[in-house]
Amino acid sequence: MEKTVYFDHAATTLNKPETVAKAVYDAILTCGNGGRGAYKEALLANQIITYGRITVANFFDVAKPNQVVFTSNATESLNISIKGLLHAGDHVITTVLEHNSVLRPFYSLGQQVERTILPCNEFGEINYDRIENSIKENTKMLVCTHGSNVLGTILDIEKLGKICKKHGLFFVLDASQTAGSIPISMKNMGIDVLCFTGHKGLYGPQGIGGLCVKEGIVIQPLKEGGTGVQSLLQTQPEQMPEHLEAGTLNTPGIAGLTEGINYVTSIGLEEIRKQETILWKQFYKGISSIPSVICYGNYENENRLPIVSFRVDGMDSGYFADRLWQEYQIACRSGMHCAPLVHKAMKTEDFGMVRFSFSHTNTMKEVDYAIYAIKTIVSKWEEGKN
Amino acid sequence: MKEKQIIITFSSTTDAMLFEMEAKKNNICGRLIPTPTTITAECGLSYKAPLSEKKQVLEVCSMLAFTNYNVYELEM
Repeated sequence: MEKTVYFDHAATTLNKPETVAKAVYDAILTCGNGGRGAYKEALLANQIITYGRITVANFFDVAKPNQVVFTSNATESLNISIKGLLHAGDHVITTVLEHNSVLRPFYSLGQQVERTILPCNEFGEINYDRIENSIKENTKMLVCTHGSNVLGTILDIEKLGKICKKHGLFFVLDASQTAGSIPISMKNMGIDVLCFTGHKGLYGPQGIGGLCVKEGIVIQPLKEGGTGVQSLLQTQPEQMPEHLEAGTLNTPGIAGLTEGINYVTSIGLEEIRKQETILWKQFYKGISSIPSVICYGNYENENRLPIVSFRVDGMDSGYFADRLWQEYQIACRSGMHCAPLVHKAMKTEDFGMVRFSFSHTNTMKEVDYAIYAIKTIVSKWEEGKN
Repeated sequence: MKEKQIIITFSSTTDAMLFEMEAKKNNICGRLIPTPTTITAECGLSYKAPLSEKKQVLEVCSMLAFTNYNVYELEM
């Protein structure tokens, strides 16, 4: 194939709709700075931003658009949530499935905040009973991913929401891998803070994300700066969303995010998941029969993300991914995937994994081509060894 | 020529924008303006409408369940 055959949608979705690109382009050419004036260009920016908040609030079933805070990505949102809600002496529960956007903020809090990291089984599944057993007097928060970016495990967030409500814990959810393919309702699932990014399953541009905060929850701001209102205050304003937004917002990004959400809504999340499931199942079926391929995760369970992670016995994952690109123009991700504890749990720290992540925009022809490429490379590798 | 206007100030730009959207739906002949410094030097956006539309303006505030807004009458 001459053009890239793209299977790295968990990193970022590539085939963005034209409507998203147009919205970004139009905003760059026409918008002023929202909240800084009442003239046409500034108000246009404000309209885009407000409509963006309304769209996100409707999509995630958030009580009010004011509770939607825009950030640059889920990483920033998680930093705001974790560092803004925890205090010295608190205890927090998380899992080994987490991305560094959850783990590194914890590490930076050091000894001040105690943490329990729940293990997973050989398939990347969490034992939910262990969560309640880990709760102590000073436990303040459960923060976890909705879906593992390596193993594809989807966590039962309704169950987690109920546990948190029962014990009075903040429930902070990293929806980076699931927003846009799995329905999420903040109201019905007991989520206190939902962190999302715009450029994966929501098909928006990079550089935009956000957090949705349940009314009544007050988060200490991570950033202080200009808000366009209450300039005489020496602190960030108390009201949301300005409390957690400082500086100029990414208005073109918000415009694109809105169109991205409109796009996934128009297709329907159920249809998107149906397409994704057909594709990953076909791929898994094709490669799991190769003797030297070791797959990680539970592929008997259809309720998983469209991710297949594996390694070829004896072959470095980076070398394999590079051969896929150089010889077949296949784009995938190799290495640790910013999720070090997953690799520690799966004992793949020394070689990493190759990850294929699918989108409803991939085709069966592309999947079959990838299977053929993998079989061919492995076969040549085996011949070379012999 | 100056006329008596009703001015609503908001604590959040988002509230100001939501108000404007609802006001348009209710055919109120107002618009967003920079908050006059005679009211506050805190900047931000306010909504200005003819005083004759005060009742409709206050109805929109009630409909949106705003709790943090102020109402002024100014000649502008």
